[in-house]
Amino acid sequence: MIESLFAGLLTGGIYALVALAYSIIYTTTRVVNFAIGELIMIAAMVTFTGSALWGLPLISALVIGCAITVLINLVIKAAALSRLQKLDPITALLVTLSFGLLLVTGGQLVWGTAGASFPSIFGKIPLFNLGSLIVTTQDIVTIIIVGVILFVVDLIQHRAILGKSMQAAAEDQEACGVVGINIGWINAVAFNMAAILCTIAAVLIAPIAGANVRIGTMVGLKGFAAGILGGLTNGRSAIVGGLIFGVAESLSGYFFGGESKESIIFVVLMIILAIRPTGLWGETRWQREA
Amino acid sequence: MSVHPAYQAESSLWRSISQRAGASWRSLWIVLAIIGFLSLPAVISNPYYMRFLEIAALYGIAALALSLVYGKGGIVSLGHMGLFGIGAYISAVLSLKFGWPVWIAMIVAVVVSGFAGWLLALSSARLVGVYLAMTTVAFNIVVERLIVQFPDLTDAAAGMINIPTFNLFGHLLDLESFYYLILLAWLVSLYMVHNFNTSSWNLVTNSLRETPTACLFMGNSVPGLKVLLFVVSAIIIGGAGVLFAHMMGRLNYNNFTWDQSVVLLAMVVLGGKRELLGPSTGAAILIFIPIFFGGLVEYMNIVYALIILFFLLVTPTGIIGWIRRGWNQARVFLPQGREWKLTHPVYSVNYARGGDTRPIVEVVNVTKTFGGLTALRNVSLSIQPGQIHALIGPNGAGKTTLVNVMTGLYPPDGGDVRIRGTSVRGKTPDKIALLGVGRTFQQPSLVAEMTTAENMQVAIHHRLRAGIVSTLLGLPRHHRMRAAARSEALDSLHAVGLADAANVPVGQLPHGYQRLVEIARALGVHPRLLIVDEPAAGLAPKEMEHLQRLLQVIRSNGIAILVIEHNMEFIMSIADWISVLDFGVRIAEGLPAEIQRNEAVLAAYLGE
Repeated sequence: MIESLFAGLLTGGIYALVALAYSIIYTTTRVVNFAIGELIMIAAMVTFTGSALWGLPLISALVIGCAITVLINLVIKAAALSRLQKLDPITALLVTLSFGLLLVTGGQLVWGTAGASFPSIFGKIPLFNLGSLIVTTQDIVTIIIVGVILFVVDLIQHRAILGKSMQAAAEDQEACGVVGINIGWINAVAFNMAAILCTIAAVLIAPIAGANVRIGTMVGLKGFAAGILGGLTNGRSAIVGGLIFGVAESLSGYFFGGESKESIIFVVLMIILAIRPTGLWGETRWQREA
Repeated sequence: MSVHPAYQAESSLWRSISQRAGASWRSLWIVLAIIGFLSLPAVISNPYYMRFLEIAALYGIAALALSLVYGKGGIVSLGHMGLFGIGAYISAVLSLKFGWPVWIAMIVAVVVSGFAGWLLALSSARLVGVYLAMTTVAFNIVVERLIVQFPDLTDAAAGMINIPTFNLFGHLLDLESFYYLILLAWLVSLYMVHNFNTSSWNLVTNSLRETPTACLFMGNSVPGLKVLLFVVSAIIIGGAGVLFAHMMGRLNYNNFTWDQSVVLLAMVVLGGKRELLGPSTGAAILIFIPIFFGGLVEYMNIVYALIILFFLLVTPTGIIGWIRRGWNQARVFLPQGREWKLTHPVYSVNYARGGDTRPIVEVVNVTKTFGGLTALRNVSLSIQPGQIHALIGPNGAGKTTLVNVMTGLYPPDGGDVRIRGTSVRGKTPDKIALLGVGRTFQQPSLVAEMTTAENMQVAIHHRLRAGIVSTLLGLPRHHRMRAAARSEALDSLHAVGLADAANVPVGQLPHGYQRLVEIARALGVHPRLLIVDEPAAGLAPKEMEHLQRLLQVIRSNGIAILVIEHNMEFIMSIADWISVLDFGVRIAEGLPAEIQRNEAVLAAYLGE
């Protein structure tokens, strides 16, 4: 029980990172970038290629992976963002979904569909026991990284001028331009922050899920579901959504067996949305637009 | 070269000739196409291609079902392959594992798909946009996981094999005879959707998608419509799934994952989401492309993605819509700058006459606050039958808020509104409309691409409609109701003097005429109270005169009219009684002459 709770919080933290990536782009530009999951896959695969195949030091491989992820996300932004903002949200979602489909199929062309194991960055040295669970360095490092990142992003969103500008950009991009906020720059910052979050999520999830081109889709979808559960319009609730899902998943595995883990999130999501149409803490004001 | 429908109206002889000619050409094409499809098995002797043809037809049905929800209703569903899978698996499991007769298994499976569609629709009826899309994805994933989680029944990831085929008139269906059955199913589903498209259900659904608020205020339950569309769609796609299971003889859950729902959506978008033949065209193209790609099937996703991107961003009407537009542009001749004749308003109805001496509407001490702002404070007024009651006040006085409370958009925080004795509390706007409240909007809220007469039918639909089953099956009632609704639509247009513009897409009418169209539409709910919100804004003097006459004619039928307006000259010449709001408080009421002299009113308008 305690073990599953702990494991659930770990995965939940990773979902929270992904949910936050969606939320940052959404709260700034009003666009759901459904390619996020595949960006995670790209980050993981490039890092893997750099370190395992080319023999680069892991940290340089990671930097390359991050750079490429950021670059791809900027290409998506440059190619489509201004158009997406004019489309209705559903069409925009389908367009970014297609970008994701292009990325995953492109990934198949480059890396094939076979999987490989992904090295843990900080090793899996056992530290202490929690019930029957052995807590490793990987776990502790995950907790620290997730905690620090979530804290920093939250600070940026709620304390820094940058966060205020992003909020303002969400409200009315044109008006922001008029009062001297560089909208192109703010949108780029949002996309870059999201891409960096994707890279971090990638190095945390890949040692568990392995390095193959299929890891992105499900993580991306679950992260999005977590964002929706909390309410996409608010970074903090996206984080809580991620944690709820992580815990729900592993507790369901504990009580109902492993098979149920794959669907429990989506059952919970359907029930909660049926009761609260904009997520647990979503703002109803945006209900019509979203 | 033929002419635009609007001009055909000018010559009924020409119209009947061209319509008859068009209809017989169309029947000829349909007959030829059916003969062509029937003879296909003789042409394609290769069973491999026959199988693909059958799959394409079934996906054509599935995509058609999705287009009903996505193209018509504007509701994106990324869970339709889940519904398809439910149909397929229920029928397969019941017939193979439980040994039920195949026919019964098939019927039960279709019913279960419809039920699942109903559940999905209920749980998502209040959702919009990405939230709705996510719920449908979640539904699809739950379905695919359920299939995997019951290996005893579904053989899980390995997939089911040896699903029985069935006897039809003592003849065990093989690959070829299955083709005819599937062809029949495809034609029937096209026929049903064609009937839907030519009924007022289609017009109301267009309004649901383009102007949901207006749709609601014209007496149509918006969530109810969405649920209905979903259920019809689920039954059709469930039927396709059932046929798929028994035709293939084997099933794998891989065919029903949520990314397959994306492929289904690509089919709809490719062919044309609002075209009858669009989804089938898209399905045929996407099913046959992999054959030519040979071994590269796993890279088909690139093709799907590029298709979705191209057709969403460049040609949102899809292939068929694109062809149709080109065809129409070549044929339709539309001269610019034509003026539509305004005829004298003629309106005479009996339902509101005599008897009723009670007020139509009583607003009693209504208070409405938004956060810290009190928009209305203890406002009371009552409106008598056959009275033109004007509501005036400076900008931000709360006039529109009061109308929104009266029509059920906002619940009052205090007090009550009674319409002919019935409280509006707890009633949604569509129910209040049915109590006899019609309204227009400050910004005309009409479906631009529908004709004027078609826009009328949005408000008539709740009274003159065939049930959805009669409509889909094309029963006599469908044709009767269609004719009745059309003729009443023309009557309403005649009433406001715009019969001349009946067959013109309403978006092409000048702004002032669109306001008249809105009044005509509101008459469709058979109002006892007609609320007109700034009807005179932006009207030319001649149109203003016409409007004035029109409102008087409507009043003479015993209908009460509430006018919100800023044009004082207009108000003073037409109103029987005036109420004045300022900062959410009713500061005066009385006859026009009294209001003109009222000091509080002058102060509110001119400042103290």
